[in-house]
Amino acid sequence: MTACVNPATIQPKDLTVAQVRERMAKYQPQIDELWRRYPVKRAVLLQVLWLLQEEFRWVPRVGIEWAAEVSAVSPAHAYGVVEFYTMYKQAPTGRYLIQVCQTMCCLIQGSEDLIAHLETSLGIHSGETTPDGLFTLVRVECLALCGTGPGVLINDEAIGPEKLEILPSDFHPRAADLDRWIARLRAEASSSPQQAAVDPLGGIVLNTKGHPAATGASAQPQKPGYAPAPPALKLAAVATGDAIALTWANAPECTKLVVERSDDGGATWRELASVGPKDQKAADKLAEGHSAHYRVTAHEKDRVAKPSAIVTSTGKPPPPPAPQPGVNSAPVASSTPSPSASTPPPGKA
Amino acid sequence: MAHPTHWKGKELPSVLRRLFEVPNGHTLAVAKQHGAYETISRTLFDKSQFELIELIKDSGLRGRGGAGFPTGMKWSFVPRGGKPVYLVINADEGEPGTFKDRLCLDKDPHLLIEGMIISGFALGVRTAYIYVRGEMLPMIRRLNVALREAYDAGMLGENIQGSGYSLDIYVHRGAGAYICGEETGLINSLEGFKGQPRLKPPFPAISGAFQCPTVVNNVETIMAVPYILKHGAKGYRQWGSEKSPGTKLFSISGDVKHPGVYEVPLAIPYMEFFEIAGGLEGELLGCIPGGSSAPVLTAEETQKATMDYESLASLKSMLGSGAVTPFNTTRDPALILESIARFYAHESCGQCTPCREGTGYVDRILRKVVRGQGRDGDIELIKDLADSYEWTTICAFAPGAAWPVQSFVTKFRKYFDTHIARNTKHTESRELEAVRPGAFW
Repeated sequence: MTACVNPATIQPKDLTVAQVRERMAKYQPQIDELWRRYPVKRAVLLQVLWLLQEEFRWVPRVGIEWAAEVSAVSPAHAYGVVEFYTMYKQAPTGRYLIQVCQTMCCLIQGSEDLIAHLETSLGIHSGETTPDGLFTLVRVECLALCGTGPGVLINDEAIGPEKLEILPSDFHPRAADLDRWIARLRAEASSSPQQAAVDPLGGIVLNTKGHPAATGASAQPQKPGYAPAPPALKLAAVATGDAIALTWANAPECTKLVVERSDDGGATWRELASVGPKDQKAADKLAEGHSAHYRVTAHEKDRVAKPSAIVTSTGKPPPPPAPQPGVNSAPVASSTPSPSASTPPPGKA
Repeated sequence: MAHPTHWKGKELPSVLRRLFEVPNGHTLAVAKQHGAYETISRTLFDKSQFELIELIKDSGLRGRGGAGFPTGMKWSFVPRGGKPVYLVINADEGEPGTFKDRLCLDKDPHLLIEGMIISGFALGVRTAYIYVRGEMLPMIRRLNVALREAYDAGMLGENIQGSGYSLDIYVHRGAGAYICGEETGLINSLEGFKGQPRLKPPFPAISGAFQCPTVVNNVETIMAVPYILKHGAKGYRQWGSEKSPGTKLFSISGDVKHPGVYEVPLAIPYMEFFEIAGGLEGELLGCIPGGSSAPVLTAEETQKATMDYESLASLKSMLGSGAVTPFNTTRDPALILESIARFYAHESCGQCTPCREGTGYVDRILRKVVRGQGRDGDIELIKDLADSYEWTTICAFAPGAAWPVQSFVTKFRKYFDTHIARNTKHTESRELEAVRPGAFW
């Protein structure tokens, strides 16, 4: 946060951790939910800091101590995290935080003019707060609003022509739109002196069962073997003369793969070979003109996967002798797949 | 402007933008009418994990966040049957020019949840997180409502649809740091650390979040998964090229008539894409083809380029996150680069010295140049600085910060020289000036 104050000089003197704890007690349902969600407590730190910032409207250092306590980290760690992320405010800002994007695409679309207009109409420089404590203007980097740029956020919601977050695709904020918004926000501030509460976690789903390894969670670990056993895929047969080479792909967790052959069109199958998961190939012999069907069944410990797709192969005449050196035109028969070896796509059998 | 449905007589794909223009498409009731969660049935539960990963491999789906790494291959690195596996969705969209994920979360959160269930099933995930950038609070609200609806419909939680598979999805709000879009930075941020990237190896697929295997995928990548499961790898490959198949959301801003998010097949020419977006404004000077990190293309290069990973790699640029920013001859490339340099100096996480110092120096020197205080040799100096931090850091942030500098000053040199010539003392040595390193902050 670009604040023109030194955070060390503005810390409330009489605020104690016990007081912060008391003020934050109302967020206990959210904190309990957050604790359930991650296997380590430390992971809730960013979310807890969001809650703290919502309660105080900024992050006082005593609050950082409380956040560290909640997330079981040292205060130094929590302070480092607050310093690292730009969205944690280390000094109070106005009721309406106006963020204007100044990066590439918004620059092209005139963000500098917009910022200059806001600085004049609010009477402040960017990074400052108006004396009435209503508006803080900051320049920020890309807000992912490049299509409807220059991107302008008011308290984390993008401004549209009429409503927040409702932006027609051809909308581009201009000085007149901003004047309208500022007038409207001023009116809102005078009619309701209390700033409306915003849930900084966006209404997280409460009462989930949580992460199985988290304290206080009731979730069960994943049931092993919820998915079917992995079958062999992409079975292919290549005939070179009477030698049939079978190849396939299988999952690393397979323990055994049984290669089967059928000579009667798939009615009966007999085991040809049983191989390990890393082999992924088998060989057979078929006399010229003879056809056979092949399939591979994968086993994963005691589970048997559905058989792979079936391929058919036919024994071929022996390949012609290798071509003479220097004669390049003759195609090498053994390197081309057999046209009779059909490989239906996996899953169709 | 509404998304065109046809272009040159051919229907434009709607794999991802299915519900973008449907009123209330973010609610479960409307989404279900359009086929949401259809795949969370026997279609999914009868498949083994291996088949699903092979399916994604065959579809050729590549990571849509920026690096374009093949998703199926990333998934296949995850060891199965050991430690818990985490799926983390990267919704920390922050690359200048990119605004597609914001729209996806706003318009169709249920497609993301459906994709996460499928991906989680394939990877054996019990707990998944969606890391959403802190500025996108409205999208976090929308996601939480969608998650509540999905829990109530029995699509999440324990024993989903009686399959024995259990999955919980939690939203994690970031707090404003571009570097948390880098996968190991994101994991650190999820774990409650500063979002500084980790050294690789070990890669997150082996040891990521909470020292367990973790897959980090972009929102858009996961949103393409339900379509692939429903229509097969072939169905997805009907678009795009052999190595860059499928469709992609491109966010276009800058000098075009209708900026916005468009879903188009990969591998179409950039010039055609500009037509889909209503045509260019003015005469094209250059184009940033894939977010601010991607090296800029000149007008001639843009004419030749097609929107796929290989074409841009051959032009020494990259598709990145699919943020297209054409600019016309009324723009000053020096000012654009100054804005990009300021962005990277602001967003450098400060972990590695070459990047922390280098991006700051480049920013300060460029600021002097565009204010008319440049000196001879400044351009060589920033080029040299960019060369020196390009590959000397832990993560890919520094190369991403170096490429725009290198490409802009090489391709648009005369604009920088014009600024330097404005300084009457441009021949004097910079050493005479007080240089205050780090004073920028």
